[in-house]
Amino acid sequence: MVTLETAERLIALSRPRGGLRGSSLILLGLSILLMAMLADPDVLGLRPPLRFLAPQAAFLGIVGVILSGIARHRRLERWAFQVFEAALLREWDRAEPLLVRLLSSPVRHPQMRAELLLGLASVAEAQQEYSAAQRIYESILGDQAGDPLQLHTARVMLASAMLRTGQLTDAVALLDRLARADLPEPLKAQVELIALLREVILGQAQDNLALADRRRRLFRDHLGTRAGYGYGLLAAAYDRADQPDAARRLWHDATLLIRPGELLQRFRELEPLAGKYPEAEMAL
Amino acid sequence: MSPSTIELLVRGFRRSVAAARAVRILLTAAFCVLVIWALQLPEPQARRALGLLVLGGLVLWAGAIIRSVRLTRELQTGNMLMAMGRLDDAEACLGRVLRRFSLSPQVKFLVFQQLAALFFQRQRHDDVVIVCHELLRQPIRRLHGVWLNTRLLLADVLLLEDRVAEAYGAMRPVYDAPLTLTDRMKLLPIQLRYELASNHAESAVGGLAEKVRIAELLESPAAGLVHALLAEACRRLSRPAQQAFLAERARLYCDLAPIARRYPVIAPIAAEAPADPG
Repeated sequence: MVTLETAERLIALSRPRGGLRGSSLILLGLSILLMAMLADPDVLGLRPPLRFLAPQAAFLGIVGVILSGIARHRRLERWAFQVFEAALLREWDRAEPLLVRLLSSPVRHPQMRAELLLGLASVAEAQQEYSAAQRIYESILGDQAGDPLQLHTARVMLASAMLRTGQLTDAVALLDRLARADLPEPLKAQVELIALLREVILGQAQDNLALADRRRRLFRDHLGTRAGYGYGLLAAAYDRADQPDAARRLWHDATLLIRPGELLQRFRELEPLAGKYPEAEMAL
Repeated sequence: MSPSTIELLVRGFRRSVAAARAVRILLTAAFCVLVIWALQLPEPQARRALGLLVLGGLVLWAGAIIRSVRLTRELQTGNMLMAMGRLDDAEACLGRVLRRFSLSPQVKFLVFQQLAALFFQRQRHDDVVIVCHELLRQPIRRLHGVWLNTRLLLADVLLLEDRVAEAYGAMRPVYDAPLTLTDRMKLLPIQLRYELASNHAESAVGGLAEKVRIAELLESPAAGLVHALLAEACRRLSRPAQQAFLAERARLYCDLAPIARRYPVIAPIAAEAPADPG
């Protein structure tokens, strides 16, 4: 379980440490030693055969440190790829132990660290540990370590997590800032999904039905299967506006893309709809 | 691009890859000769010469890495320009990277593959075929990503040109390679198009649930295409319930009409589905 304590611990452990440490320090030391022995063979006061063997050993040590660094990096990449696949398939039980293992030591590459932390936050959200997810998003944004897309995702998901942890004022302020930003359509679609969730939670969704068609188009064009979440939230908006036909149609589309159980697990606000409108039949 | 220009491009690529290989071999040989020469020098000059050689080798190695990183960054700029639809700028950028010298042929392979992708976006199918064939003549097998993308791109273009048997030849080795989930996501639409083009609808619907699960991970247009292809396979096999389900899902992902213009194989499904949901 990714609790707040786990999140705090992994954020701290995965943070890259400044200065020369570990393998870099060993590499520097061995290089200096090798150069010194090449410049002056008597520098260590060794006698044959140690005098002959010492530079070879230092050279082999350098090669060994470099090769082990490469092997470690490749192993990390392989595990990170497995995390990426598990997250895509929403196999959180498979992703969690890998993430814990990867984030338990410093991750030097900022984008890889941001990606892993985003994965950990997704696991926390799937376990409904929203405080932990919120802390992770805040740490990514606080460190500003990640590419622009990762930082945007962290901002949007932070707003979503704050809606869950009851920090509604901050969530609304953040979403308003995101809505004002000049974003490309695929990124706007993510913002609109969370903005719609905010409206459903605050009971304002039925007041913004004028935006429904534009939102539906955005979700369809840019969210892939996740558009189903958007359709579900739009169905909730129409339901509250007492427009059952539109709500029924949207609920059908939502459940055609995503199974009802998964929809309800992600957005418990949709529970009233599940009993009220028929879900799509899955022919597979 | 006229045939002579694409030929010039291919010749330039071959030259740059050969030059990179030749310089690597020359440098390695020169290093070995210098080491042997240094070992024959009297003490203490021998040690100093060896030290300088090691230092020089390291500096050269670091320089080559920095050069490769710079070229890779320029390549990323080209990719970004392509993603933004600025194809002329992307082509100019990729052409520049291709002309620059690098000790690493891998960078050249990556650039050439991106050029093939750019030609694909411009629907210059003949150029894509030439570039992909040239890449497959190079030793790119251990660069799994480049190898796989090149084969899939080639198969994609050949299917668009109705050269089904050749497309199969391009795809066939992919099935023998270990594939990640991302690889399978890239393969699925092309595999289904091949299976429908060669009238193997039965194969297309094999493992249907797993195929739908992979399709769900794709972006909207690709997910819509895969659902429509599966629906078409079900239509051919007279499975109306599954056909209706898949066609309805396809409609939820994207408008099928523009996709059907590019891939006429889904035209029967596009014709029966409403253009806009809701």
